[in-house]
Amino acid sequence: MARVAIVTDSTADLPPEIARRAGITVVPLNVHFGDEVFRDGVDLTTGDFLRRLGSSDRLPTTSQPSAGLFTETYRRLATDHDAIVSVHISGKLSGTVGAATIARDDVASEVAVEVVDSATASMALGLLALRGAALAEEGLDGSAIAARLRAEAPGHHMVFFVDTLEYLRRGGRIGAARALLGSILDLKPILRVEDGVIVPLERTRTRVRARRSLVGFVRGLPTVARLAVLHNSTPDEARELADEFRLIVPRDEVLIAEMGPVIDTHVGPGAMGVAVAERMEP
Amino acid sequence: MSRRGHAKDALTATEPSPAVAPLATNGGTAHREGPPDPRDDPGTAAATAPWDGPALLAAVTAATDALTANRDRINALNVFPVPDGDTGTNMGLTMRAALDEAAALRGPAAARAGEVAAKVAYGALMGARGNSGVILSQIFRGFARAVADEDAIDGPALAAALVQAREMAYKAVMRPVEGTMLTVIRGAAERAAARAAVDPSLVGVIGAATEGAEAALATTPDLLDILRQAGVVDAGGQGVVHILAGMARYARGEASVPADATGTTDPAAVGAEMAFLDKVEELHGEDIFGYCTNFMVFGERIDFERSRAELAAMGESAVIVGDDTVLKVHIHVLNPGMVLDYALRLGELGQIKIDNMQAQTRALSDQRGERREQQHEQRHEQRHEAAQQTSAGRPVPAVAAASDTAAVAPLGRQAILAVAAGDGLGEALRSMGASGIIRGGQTMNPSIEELLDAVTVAEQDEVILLPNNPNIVLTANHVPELTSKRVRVVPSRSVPQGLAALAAHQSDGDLDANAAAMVAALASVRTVELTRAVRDATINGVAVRAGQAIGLLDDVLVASGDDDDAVTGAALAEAGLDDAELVTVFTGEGIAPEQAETLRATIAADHPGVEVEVYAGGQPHYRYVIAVE
Repeated sequence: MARVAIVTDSTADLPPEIARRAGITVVPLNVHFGDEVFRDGVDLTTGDFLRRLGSSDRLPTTSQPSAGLFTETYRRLATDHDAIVSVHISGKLSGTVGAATIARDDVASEVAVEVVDSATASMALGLLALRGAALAEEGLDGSAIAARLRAEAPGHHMVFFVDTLEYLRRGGRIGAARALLGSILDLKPILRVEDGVIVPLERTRTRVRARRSLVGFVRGLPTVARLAVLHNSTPDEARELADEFRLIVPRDEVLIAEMGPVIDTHVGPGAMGVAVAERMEP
Repeated sequence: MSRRGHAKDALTATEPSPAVAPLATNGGTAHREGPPDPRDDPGTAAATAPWDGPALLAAVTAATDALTANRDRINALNVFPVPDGDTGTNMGLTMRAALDEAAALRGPAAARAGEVAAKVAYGALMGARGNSGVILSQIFRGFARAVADEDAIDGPALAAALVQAREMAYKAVMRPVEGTMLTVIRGAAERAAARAAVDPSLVGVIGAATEGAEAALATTPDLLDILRQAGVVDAGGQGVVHILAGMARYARGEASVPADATGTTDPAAVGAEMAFLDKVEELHGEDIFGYCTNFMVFGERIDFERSRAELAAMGESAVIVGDDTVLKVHIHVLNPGMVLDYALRLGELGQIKIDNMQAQTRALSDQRGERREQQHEQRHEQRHEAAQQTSAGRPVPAVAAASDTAAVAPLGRQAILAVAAGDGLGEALRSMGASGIIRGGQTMNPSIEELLDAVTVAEQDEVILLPNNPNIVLTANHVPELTSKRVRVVPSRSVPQGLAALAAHQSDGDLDANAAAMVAALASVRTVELTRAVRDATINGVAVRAGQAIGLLDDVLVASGDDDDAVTGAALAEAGLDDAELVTVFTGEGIAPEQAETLRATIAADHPGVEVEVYAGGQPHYRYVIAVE
């Protein structure tokens, strides 16, 4: 039976334990504080990151994994897998897909790698990677898994709000949410990753309203297979929100995850979100 | 919420005319003598000469002056003593537009009274603002029609013109209601006609018209119950009295004088005409059946009266206006095809719009401006620019919004146009997703035309209008009929309501779903306003003196006193702060946000669970506009 390895990147915000159990390999992006470079989630946790953010006078930046790191990873996995499906953050938000594609071509003679652009980020990507792992478990081959993930990617939604638009603005990932800049009001805008880019969905002015909007978004979906509440510095709020979702989504399918340092660099402290996978035809 | 308990609603729902005052004050016009009897003063030679073009222009100028001179005073005279939108302003602006149009007339035509009157009527129609302005424009339309062939107007011609003005005014609405401007112009016309029969002098006729108008004005509370309940006379009718009195002054050879010195500016006699207009809307809404059919007919030598009668006989709720070259038809029929067939025989059809009336009928009592707008768009725009009264909302492209300004791109498929006075309020609305701000609000009600202009220039074909004022809701309600774009009016009564509505708008939602969500969101916010009483009054059992601070909760007077902060606190207490999440204070013109700091600190201390934000709203007259969510 063909063994297919699932690879994703650290912007999937997959809790390490969940990734490990699903057998997913996570390739880290990088966070730069000045000259210091950290591997996302490997030598920098969300807590470390926020502490550094508070004490640093320079805002961090991020960079994609090198193609070399992907090549190395694919070669390592090729030793005990027949194929690799590498699913990543939207190519419109990061060059990660590009690096993975270069690596795929480098290792073409050794192992078949399918690179999938998820067109989303954070746990929406994470849930897609988990879906890939489940399909691999079912015994589908690499190209079949990749085809399924590409088809199901549009059913994976990432909706979130930020405490301030400043981080998105500085990080350049603001997309159509640029329209929200310059607001004289202290907005907690609801944003959505759609077709790979960040777009404004609603404008709210309090976190309470913003959380309500996240719930409203989920309620508006026809079906929900799985859901993850994302936060970076508000665990209590995240638990409350998860409890609310457990009223409308099967308990075991509601996860809580931390937004990792790379995502945090772009959304800033206090951001919260929800990643949802719609139920797909089996 | 009961209508009556709702001060702005009950008194000003349709027309910016909180301009009402107790009849008892100062004796009122009703109990006053008319202007000096012209028979006692034979007048100068100039005064007895018929009015040619320049003289008519001067008479209209005097009428405009008289109205304008009283405008602020009328505006300040509310049964509900808040500085708010008003009939005086709307009629004044309508007159100003009429005058500007006529004053621009050049050459031999300017010498002819008929030509000048035609320009006055056209200008009034284009500039008509508020319901009182629309009816005023019809008065001038009738007047102009009567004197169309006259080089000069003498007493009998003037009386005949007033009679025709009366007829046109009554035709402007299908179900005329007495106790309104209509009653007043009727009184003027009857008295003028009677006088002309025995005394053909111009001075005598216009004097009689003024007396007749004043006498009729005094009867308005007897004719319309809501006026009696409020103890007021009709505001629009009072405006007509001022206009006639201004003309009478000119006829007597008197110079225009300041408001307080004229004999016709008694503050007691102003009233609310919205009752009448409300009824028009309500009556119109009763016979919901069949298809609401709207179209225009462009032809030549149309027999207007006959066509109007024949068309009206085909259905219900007919509103048909126009002349021998163009008709604008609104009618409810079971078979729209039949009506269109008939109309095709009259000329070319345009702007056909047929709605199956399930949920609502759209009131289209008397709109006819857009026909002229099309024909004279260019000139009209020039006039608009010259007037500089408004800045229609312009859509802001997403790219432009990249700069750190208040410019914010529209969210998604719909343009959202919001009415606001005050830069800060406008920016706040933009921040929440309004794509355009139409200047106006509590002290300046935009005309239908201005709202329509903003809709026209919006990039999107789907538009949501947020009037943000009870006095602009009905004006906005006319807009959907006048454009091929899909327009929904979300009847927001305050800027806080507008902001709440915007928060419910989803960028990817469809028009009707968004409009419904926005309407539902209106109830999620309460609006507290702090202003000053412009005169003494007792409302809802709360007594206030001129100059005192008054606090309003959702348009209802709930607190008054000498200390701004105390009154604000009392009004906020009524709003139920304990359940609130967010209190947003917009400070008025000339008030720095820091000045609201005490207020912020007090609310924060008393209600620790409530977030309080303070922004510079820049609105006139209202020290604070506060959203409690």
